Amino acid sequence: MDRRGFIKTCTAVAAASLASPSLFINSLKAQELEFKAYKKAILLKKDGTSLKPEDVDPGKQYIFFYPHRATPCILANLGKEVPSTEVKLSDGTTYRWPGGVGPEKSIVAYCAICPHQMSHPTPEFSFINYYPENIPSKIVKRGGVIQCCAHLSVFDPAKGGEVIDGPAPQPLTAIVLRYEGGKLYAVGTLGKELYEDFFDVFKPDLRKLYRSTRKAKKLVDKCEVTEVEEYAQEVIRC
Amino acid sequence: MSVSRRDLFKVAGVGAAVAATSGAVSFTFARKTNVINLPKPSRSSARVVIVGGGWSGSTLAKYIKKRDPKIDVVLIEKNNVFMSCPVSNLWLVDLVDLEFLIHNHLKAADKYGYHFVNAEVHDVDRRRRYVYTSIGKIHYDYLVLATGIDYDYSQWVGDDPRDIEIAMKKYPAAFKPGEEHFRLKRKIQDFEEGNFVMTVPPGLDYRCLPGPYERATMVAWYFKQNEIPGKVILLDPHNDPPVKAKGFHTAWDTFVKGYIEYYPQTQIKHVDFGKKKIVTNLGDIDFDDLNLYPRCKSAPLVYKLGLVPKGDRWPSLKWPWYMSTVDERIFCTGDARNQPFSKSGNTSNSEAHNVAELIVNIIHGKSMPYKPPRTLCYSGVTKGKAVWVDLTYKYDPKKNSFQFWNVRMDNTPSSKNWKAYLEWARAMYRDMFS
Repeated sequence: MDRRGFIKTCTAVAAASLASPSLFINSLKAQELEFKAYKKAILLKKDGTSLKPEDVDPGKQYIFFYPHRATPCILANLGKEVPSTEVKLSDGTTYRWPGGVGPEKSIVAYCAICPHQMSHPTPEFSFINYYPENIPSKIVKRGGVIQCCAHLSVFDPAKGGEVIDGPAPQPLTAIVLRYEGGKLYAVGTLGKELYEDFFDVFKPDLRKLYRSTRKAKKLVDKCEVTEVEEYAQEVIRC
Repeated sequence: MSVSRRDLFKVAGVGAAVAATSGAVSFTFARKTNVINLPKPSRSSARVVIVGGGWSGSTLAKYIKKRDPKIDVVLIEKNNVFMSCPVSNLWLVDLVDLEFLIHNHLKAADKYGYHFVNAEVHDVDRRRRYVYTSIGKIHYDYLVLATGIDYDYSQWVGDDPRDIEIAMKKYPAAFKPGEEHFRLKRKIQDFEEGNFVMTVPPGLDYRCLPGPYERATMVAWYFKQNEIPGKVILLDPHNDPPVKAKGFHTAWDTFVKGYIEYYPQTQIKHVDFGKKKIVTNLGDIDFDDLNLYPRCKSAPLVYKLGLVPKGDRWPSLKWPWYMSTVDERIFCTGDARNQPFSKSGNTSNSEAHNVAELIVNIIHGKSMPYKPPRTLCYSGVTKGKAVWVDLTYKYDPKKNSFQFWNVRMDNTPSSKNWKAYLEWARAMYRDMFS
């Protein structure tokens, strides 16, 4: 796909997102290498019932694991409508991130593996976190950001996860969500994935948590959503 | 500021001409040496040879290959295992184990396809572009000297080789990881009472600006923890620690009070090993043991290749890039180069990402904009608490100079900073070796 064709696709995706979810997904698939579909997984509360948009508190951050059993994602309600936007990579290529979902179009999700050096939430610590408006980042002096305290990379969840500050070389991988019949689903990823390196680098840690890498890699069709503060013993903010 | 195509042609043309006139001067090694047989991705692949597998060289080797697998990359390192200098102050006082600091290149070499050669480099024939090592010679198209620092004892110890040997064996600086660190750790463990003197080198061109202050603080903590009737005496030529001063003073006034004495503006005139005395502008200071960290200079190979101007201690480079002004096919990175960048692990790592991009672009005849390195630097100030500073650099092309830029810091000792410190290091090791 040449640049002109790519821009056409992006425009088509934006238009499609206004039409219907299925058309939107098909349009995303047309984006070369950027959208990757996985199992459609429903987001659930701890009690096993479906997570509703109103359950996602704008003042909190949530974690779920998708598309693999061991790959963490941050879920956040940005408290305002988040429009679709174009995301640019350092090599100049772009892709269109579809924006928030839900009745307010305010709910977003991102892979919680830092694209700098792969810090991610574990049951022990969470170094990469969403900072709601009521918990501003000390680095960029505002809320509404995702920030990794290992090396102070800061990302904008309202702009497809683009890098605002710090050493991260690329945006966060977006988790593509769908809102259907009052329920939230994860359907795939958008942007550069880090899963291959993640499973290679953290093999011993994943074996402790999941008994084998094969089990850690298992693709999921439902995701339990938990508050990060409940999942990790300590949330490290900076 | 960007490197232009014209600059790149100058690299290929002028560099070759300079090498032709001056390269043979520095080359002293035998010409009949076997060639190290390393396969290239293709016969036409450019080859980058990197000398030194520390923070800079390890990052460079991986990221050149990640950017372009067709480039042949050879990393030559004299040690057969990597030991980290960052975080080693915590290991000295048993707060991290040795396995935290030790890493190997083989996994990254295998995964990304660079060659790892465990050998010592003796010399370089710049004219023919051969690196001579203890196991043979190897041709290069571009050479990176990521050879780190050496110690310059002339200022405080003098030129007598016997005194220098005493300094190196009995009172090692322990800012070049390996034997020196093991020796220093044992000295700390063996210390029973009295004054354990530590020194800070003058200027800002020594390895790890906060390193001596962190070490002094953590050793004082160790003495306190183990109820050793001794104290750390920190002799500093600066007016105050150049970075994180508030954080260190907080530690000295609270966590380790009574176990450390700090003497700023101390000019060391001479070290008398026989009388165990340091002669300073403040008077003579007796020591029961000593960690002597002298002024730093570039590694011997950089001198041997004729890249260091007479009277200087660092190679002359074509700023804001990293090519030697003597031979533009040779790059000096990490702690082998001088200020303006701090000599730190994070700086070397982030700089190497940029230099990898630069070298790949040069090989492909492409331009690129200038990118400064960045530094995030943590220091422990007691068990479980740390402070940090984060900054980048701004280049002024008119003055050809740099300044610290976007400086941020947290000088309040906290446990979350300590945990972030350890995660900072783990992530850096991942970046280099996974």
